[in-house]
Amino acid sequence: MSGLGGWVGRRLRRVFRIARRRSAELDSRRDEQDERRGSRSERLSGNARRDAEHIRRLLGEPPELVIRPIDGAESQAILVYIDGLVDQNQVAEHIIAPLTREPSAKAREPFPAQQSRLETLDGAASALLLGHCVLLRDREGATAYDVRNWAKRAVEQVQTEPTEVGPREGFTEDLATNLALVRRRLRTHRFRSEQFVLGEQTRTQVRLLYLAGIARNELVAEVRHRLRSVDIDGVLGINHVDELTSDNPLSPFPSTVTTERPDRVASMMLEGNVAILVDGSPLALVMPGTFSALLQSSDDFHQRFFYASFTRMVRWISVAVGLMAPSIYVSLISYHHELVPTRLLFTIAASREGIPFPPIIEAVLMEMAFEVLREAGLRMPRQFGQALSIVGVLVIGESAVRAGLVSPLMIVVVGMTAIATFAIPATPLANAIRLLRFPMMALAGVLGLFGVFFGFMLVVGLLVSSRSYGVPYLTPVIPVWFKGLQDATFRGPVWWHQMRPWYTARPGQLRRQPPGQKPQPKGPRPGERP
Amino acid sequence: MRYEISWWQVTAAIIAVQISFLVTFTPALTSSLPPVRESWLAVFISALAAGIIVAPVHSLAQRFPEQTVYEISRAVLGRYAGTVFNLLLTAMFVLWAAIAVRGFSLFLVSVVFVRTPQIVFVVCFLILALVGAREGFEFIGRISEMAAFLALVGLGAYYAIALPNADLGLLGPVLAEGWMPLLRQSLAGIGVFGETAIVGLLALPYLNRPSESAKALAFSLLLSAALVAAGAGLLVAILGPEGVALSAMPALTAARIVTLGFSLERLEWLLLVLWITTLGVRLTVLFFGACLGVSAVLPRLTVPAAAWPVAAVMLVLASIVQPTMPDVLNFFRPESYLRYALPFELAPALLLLIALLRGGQSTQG
Repeated sequence: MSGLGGWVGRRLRRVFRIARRRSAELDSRRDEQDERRGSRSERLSGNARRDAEHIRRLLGEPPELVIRPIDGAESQAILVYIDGLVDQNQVAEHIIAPLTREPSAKAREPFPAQQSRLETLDGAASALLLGHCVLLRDREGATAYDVRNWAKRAVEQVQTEPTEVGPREGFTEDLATNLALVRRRLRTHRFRSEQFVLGEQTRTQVRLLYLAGIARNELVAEVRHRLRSVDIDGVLGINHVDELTSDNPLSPFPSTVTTERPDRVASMMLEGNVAILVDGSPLALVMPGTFSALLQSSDDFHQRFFYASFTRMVRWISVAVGLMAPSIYVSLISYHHELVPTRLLFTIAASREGIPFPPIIEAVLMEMAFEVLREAGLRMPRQFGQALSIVGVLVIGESAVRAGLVSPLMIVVVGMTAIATFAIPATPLANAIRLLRFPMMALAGVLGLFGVFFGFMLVVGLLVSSRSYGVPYLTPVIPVWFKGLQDATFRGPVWWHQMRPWYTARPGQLRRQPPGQKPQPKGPRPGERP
Repeated sequence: MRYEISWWQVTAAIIAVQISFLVTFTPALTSSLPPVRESWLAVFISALAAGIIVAPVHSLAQRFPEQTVYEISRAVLGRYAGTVFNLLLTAMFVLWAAIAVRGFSLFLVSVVFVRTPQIVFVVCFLILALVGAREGFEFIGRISEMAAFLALVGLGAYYAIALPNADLGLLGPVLAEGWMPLLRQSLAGIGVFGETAIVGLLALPYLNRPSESAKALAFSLLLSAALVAAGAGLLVAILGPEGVALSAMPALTAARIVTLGFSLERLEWLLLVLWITTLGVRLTVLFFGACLGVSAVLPRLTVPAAAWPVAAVMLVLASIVQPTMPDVLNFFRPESYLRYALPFELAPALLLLIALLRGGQSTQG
């Protein structure tokens, strides 16, 4: 009986398998047919008037679409472009004039810098939306000319990553401008720029930049693969790309470096990093973004290494202060009085006299008040900024203490924490620290110092288990790479930086410069005879 | 999936596991038998003796490259005996981890958080262990690097601050009572340093260069011994031999009286930080060992999946084992500790012996 059942089962499974395979084959054949039919219908007909009409209908008959027949042309020619996206002067001088005024037919060719042949209606529509103008000619097909010139911001001083002595120009929203800003700093034949178009509806142009031969091939391939796998209807900024390609989508910590400084992008590309530019975004993504890279600032490379190293150490300390200062304060005051030096304990006790809230409530209230002020400061029109800071100072700094709601020491701790987070150069990292401060305070309020270190271990665990494009997030600190520490925890002198990081550069290209670059001026030393 | 770790990460894991002991119980272990003042010397003898327990781990790692202890046991002992061995070893890992958590949580409940239920601390440590064990030994290796760094810097700072409070004259005269009392004193320390064998057994299959296993084991043993010896000597020099012998946790007692000027006093927080950090690593290693064991006995369960039942068992066990603080302290008494630790720590030696007798070799190409 069981033998019969087994036989029937096997037969049934086989029948189902064959049916599934047939169905899959039929589906794929149908898809292929649909694709062929679609591409045929999308092809340009070669009749200029009919193609212009098709394009107009495809784009929804927008009033800003200009369809202009060219009178002097030998064959029927129609120029199509979208008003506002193209440079009218270029259209008139470089396209219309040669077509109408040149006596010989051979010379009647427009001459903008960039042009491309078009085969399909979709291609023509995409070109128009990119700011190209399309010339349709009977029997000769269609050509797109790059004459884009939409309203754009000039290159201005960077806003979010100010520098003391470094260069000041920052990216704009225009991809071509941004690309030029990076190229200007890396005049090498190794510079590679690969184009991707992301977003079904937005058709956003994205560029992948790297230095061929220096960036690790696996890294470039991985970034390329992740960009190709993005399938979404709209990409409106760099954060979309970041979130769609990140290694740790659920981590509060950023896994890429986001910067608006072309000099930072160039400097990181020299180390083998890969950068992404997105049209319409004044920021660049650089990957892999390790924790130590997020704590580097452009100023580090424009100042003497002693001072640069000092400021780097200050930033590491700022991370610790920003994350744990309020929680340590809360735990000491709530649970571990005995650990506070006696004199300090008296001072704290005096300052807390008459405060109605326990330290945890006090700390959360103050931190929340600060966050509200910060958020309001960002959203408010600039002209109200000063008024807001006055209110903030009076409410937080003065009145709350006088009303006996918070202790002056809590103001000091909250203020110190806020300043520490502003010392972190990468805003996404500072935001993550700011966010994690609240659960840390809650743990401190419930479990004291044990809670603080439990939270700290969880945060470290999260950081240790994270990766950025396959690279351990805490590299070169954990796992430790001693040579890399000279550019992570402190900034060694430039002549000392002989190696590129192993996790970004190609194995054969690890050597950045030969040894012996330390300057040793020739000639007699003081006290020596020439 | 097999991960790879460096010899330094193995060393860091071993140091972190042993430092979690050093902070609290090791000085008590090495110093509670007379002559207390030579406990720093006893530590070196213990470490040397522990080397004999640790050496088979290196031989096993060379003989059975890239195989976990549970795979080795089945290759050496056969299917059934290997499974029984694996079950026993897994039980030892769970028990050892439960005792570690129980000891720390009882200490917190009786000294600091007297109104907090003990299970809260057990759950916190189990969360840490769960996260670590589910991520695999690569994660444990990395977190150990951080913990070992903290331990080295923290202990270095503690010793440096404590040194002006020490009277080094209390350490002499050396060997005034001869060798025999010193050797007796060093017996308990063997149990502490013998843990190198357990961590090595779990870590070495993941070593990226198997030839460096001896370096990792020897270096970690030496560094731990140096740290423990310095700690033991310093405690005797601060508290005096009688003070150390009377105290259950002499390191914490000394931290209370150590001061630096008027501003830095009461350094228990530093030791507590080191204790929590290194205990987290210790527990994660033991927890990982237990999960690996369950996964070996029940091959359908992966290590991350095995972490949940192990956590449940450990939660129950950590609530019933060693019911009171005196029980915990008794467990760590020099007379009893070696008796409990040795069967666990001699497992690699036993495996190697049987492998040598049966001529067993690696089952992997």
